[in-house]
Amino acid sequence: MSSASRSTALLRAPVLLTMILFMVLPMGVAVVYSFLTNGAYGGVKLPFTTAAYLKLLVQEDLDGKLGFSPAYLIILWRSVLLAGLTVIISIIIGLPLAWYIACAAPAKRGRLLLLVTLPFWINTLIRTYCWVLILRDEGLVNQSLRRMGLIDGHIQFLYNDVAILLGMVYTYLPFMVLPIFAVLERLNGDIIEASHDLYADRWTTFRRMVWPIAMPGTIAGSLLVFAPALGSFLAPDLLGGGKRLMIGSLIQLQFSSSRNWPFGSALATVVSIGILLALFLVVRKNFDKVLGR
Amino acid sequence: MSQVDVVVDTSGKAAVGGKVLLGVDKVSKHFGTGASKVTALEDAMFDILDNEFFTLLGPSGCGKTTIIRIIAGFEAPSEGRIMLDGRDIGHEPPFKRPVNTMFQSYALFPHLNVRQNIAYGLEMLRWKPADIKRRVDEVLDLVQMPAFADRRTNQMSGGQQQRIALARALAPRPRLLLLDEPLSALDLKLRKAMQTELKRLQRETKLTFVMVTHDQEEALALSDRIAVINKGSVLQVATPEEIYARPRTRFVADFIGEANLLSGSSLGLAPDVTVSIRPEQITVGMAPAADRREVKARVVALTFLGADTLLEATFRDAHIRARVRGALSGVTVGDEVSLSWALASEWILKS
Amino acid sequence: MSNKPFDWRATPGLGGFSLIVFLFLYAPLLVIVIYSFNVGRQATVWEGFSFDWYARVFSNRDMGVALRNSLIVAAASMALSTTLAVTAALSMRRGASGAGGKLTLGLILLPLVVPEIVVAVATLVFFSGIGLKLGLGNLIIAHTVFCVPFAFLPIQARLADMGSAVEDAGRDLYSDEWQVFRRVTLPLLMPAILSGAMLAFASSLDDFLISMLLADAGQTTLPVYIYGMLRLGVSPEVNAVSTLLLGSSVLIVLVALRLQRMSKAK
Repeated sequence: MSSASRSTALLRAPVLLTMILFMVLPMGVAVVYSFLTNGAYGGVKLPFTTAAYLKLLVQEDLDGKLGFSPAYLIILWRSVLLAGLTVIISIIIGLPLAWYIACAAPAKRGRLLLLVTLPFWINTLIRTYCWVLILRDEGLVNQSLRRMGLIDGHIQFLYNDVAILLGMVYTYLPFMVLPIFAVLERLNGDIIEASHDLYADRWTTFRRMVWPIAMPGTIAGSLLVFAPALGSFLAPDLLGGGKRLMIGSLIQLQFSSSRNWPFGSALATVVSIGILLALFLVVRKNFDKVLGR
Repeated sequence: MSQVDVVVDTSGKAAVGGKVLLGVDKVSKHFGTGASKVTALEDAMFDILDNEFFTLLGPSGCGKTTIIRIIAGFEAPSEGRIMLDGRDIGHEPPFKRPVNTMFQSYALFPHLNVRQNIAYGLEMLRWKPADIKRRVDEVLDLVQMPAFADRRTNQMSGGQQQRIALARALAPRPRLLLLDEPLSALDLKLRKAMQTELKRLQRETKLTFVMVTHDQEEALALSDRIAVINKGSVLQVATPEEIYARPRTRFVADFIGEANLLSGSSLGLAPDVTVSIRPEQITVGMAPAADRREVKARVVALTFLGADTLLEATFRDAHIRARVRGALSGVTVGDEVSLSWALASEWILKS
Repeated sequence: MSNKPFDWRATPGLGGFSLIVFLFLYAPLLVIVIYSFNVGRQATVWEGFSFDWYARVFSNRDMGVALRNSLIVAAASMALSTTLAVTAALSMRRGASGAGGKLTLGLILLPLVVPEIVVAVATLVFFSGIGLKLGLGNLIIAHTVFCVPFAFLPIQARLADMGSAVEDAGRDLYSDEWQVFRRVTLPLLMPAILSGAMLAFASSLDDFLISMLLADAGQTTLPVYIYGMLRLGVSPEVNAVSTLLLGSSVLIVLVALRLQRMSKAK
């Protein structure tokens, strides 16, 4: 080994070790745990079994008979749906915003980027909580409506899927804007002018030039939004009232009050596989586009 | 309306009834306001004729690019009008103007292949698919790249990309084709080849080409008429021969080709007059004659360039350069030589 | 035809849209800040200006413990993750070369794509499985892992910008690689390192989910404590401490970004 590659390997070793030991390995352990049996006081014990995974599909009813129960699948499905909707709404809001920032004068651009990025660094708990303040029965919106004489009691804004969706879009929007902006910033402005020069108006230019060229950024942003949205805990917990479960809150339950570590691990594994699958499909189809970074 | 004396006097086109296609009517362009106001263009006024190769020539920052951007529609004039078919199109968006641009950076659409690039304008104009296909093939033949139809644009050399950019701008048969420094990114050999190409294309398509360049040789070689621009002002609009032989200002004389600019007082003429004489019009050591002017100058440099010899000499604080054919014998640095030229070759400039 | 000059950079209506989006992003946070100064008990009925709730926050002993825990964990994870990030970035100076390079890059960025809940669960079962009971140490290890990408990115970006010219010049002066690093590379890299460190600190401070799942009694961090308060109901104290947390995160990040911009200007 040349001294250069030796020093490279040496420099890489600590971080590789850390990530493998404390991230990859634990995820492996979680997979193993998903095949173990639930311990009496939490934790796990032998023997190995697929009971945790079966629990996703099958439930024991009052007669002790096993029957197909879609309850957990519904939760899984709803999580995917809500995460997907979060992605779509983030694109609808984020793409025009990224375009606006990319078109701004260089000085303004920096400030706008800062404004978009800043919320990302604020605690997710706080960012979700503020919507509770605004949307709850005695919250800002209801109070204002009452004061304006438009309603008498209150409107139930919280504890439904729309509130969860709102919270998630609010939290994950910067994740969509930044990758799209990164791509659009490198776009040669002459290309837009060329499109207009060749008789395309603004909307057509957006459709035929901006949208396709931004695609690698849109894809990257979609992944960066979908993954955390899928496993989101705080939004369904605080805004959904803990009754509208998503995978994230369901998993958390298994490690607190419901005490079913194998089941929790199984759910986590299913989520990981789902995301890895999505990642794989996307990267395979757009390998050079995504790496165009 | 336009600088009539120049256009009609010297432009062969106008003399044979060349039709005015586009009129630049007292166009000015300012950026910023108040103390930080920058004037890019001041009262530009000239016509562009149908089926001509028109060049905007000038140094960097002179305003030539501003003019074609205004014609294309990417900038709006602060004052003045752009007249096409009797209508002021100065404030119309670019997609409403029958003008196409070949960009300096080529600006090929990266996510489309060559065929789709060229077809783009035609699709926007709602041509029928069959017509589009035919025209794309036609235009690819025109720029001599028929095999490239399905290539992706990022796998081509600079020269190839440029031809595609040209093809794309030609395809919709615009009334005017604007070329923004089309050859500046090419190496010398390719440049020369492309110059011939451009001239040929203009003749074949009979479209009006408006080219922007800072290279005066290129302008002289390709153009039917040239507009010389400096610091936001259009100094002269005329044929290459006219501009070379009878430049209207010091700047034009100096910018186009080489010129010796001698002050009137050094030649015994009125002090506010400048005499312009081209180096190749000067002879060394010829016998004096009535119709020639002679000066005695001291040789400071002799450079043999193969086909010519460049002789530099000083005369009354002025620096004169003469260019003679072949080698120059019997003259060395330090000698006093007789330099003369026909009085008729002198061109008088008022300051 | 409208007489407004055509500017493809200025899409009509987009400015207004963007303004609305920014208001959407920031106004809700403002609500918390404003109501943290509310006199009344009711979290969202304005009754007057007061610092009372802040006083309550500062005299809350349990919260003080949580804050202390948060700071310890954040400081430790910052130090560890930044060190790891520096070594990793140095190893990838010429781009992520070779199979090892891409793998390392992927692993470093992995925490960004894996949902927090999965990371939290995995870490929990792993620590439980191997019986690791280091108290706050458990948290520190877990935080370090997800802080690495945040520390890494600014450092890597700076190294990429720097190029090798300066270091090559340094090699002429100093015979030994370590000296080159210490005297040439490190000083130039310092702003980016500080920037990465601060971003790592902010990420650790803000973490909720992993801390909640891993924490035993006595290892509560501030966000977990706040969550506990929220579970009992909305209160102005929550508003006050949230405002403080919010403010510090913003401050830290602004400084970090300013450092980044300073190093870019060089």
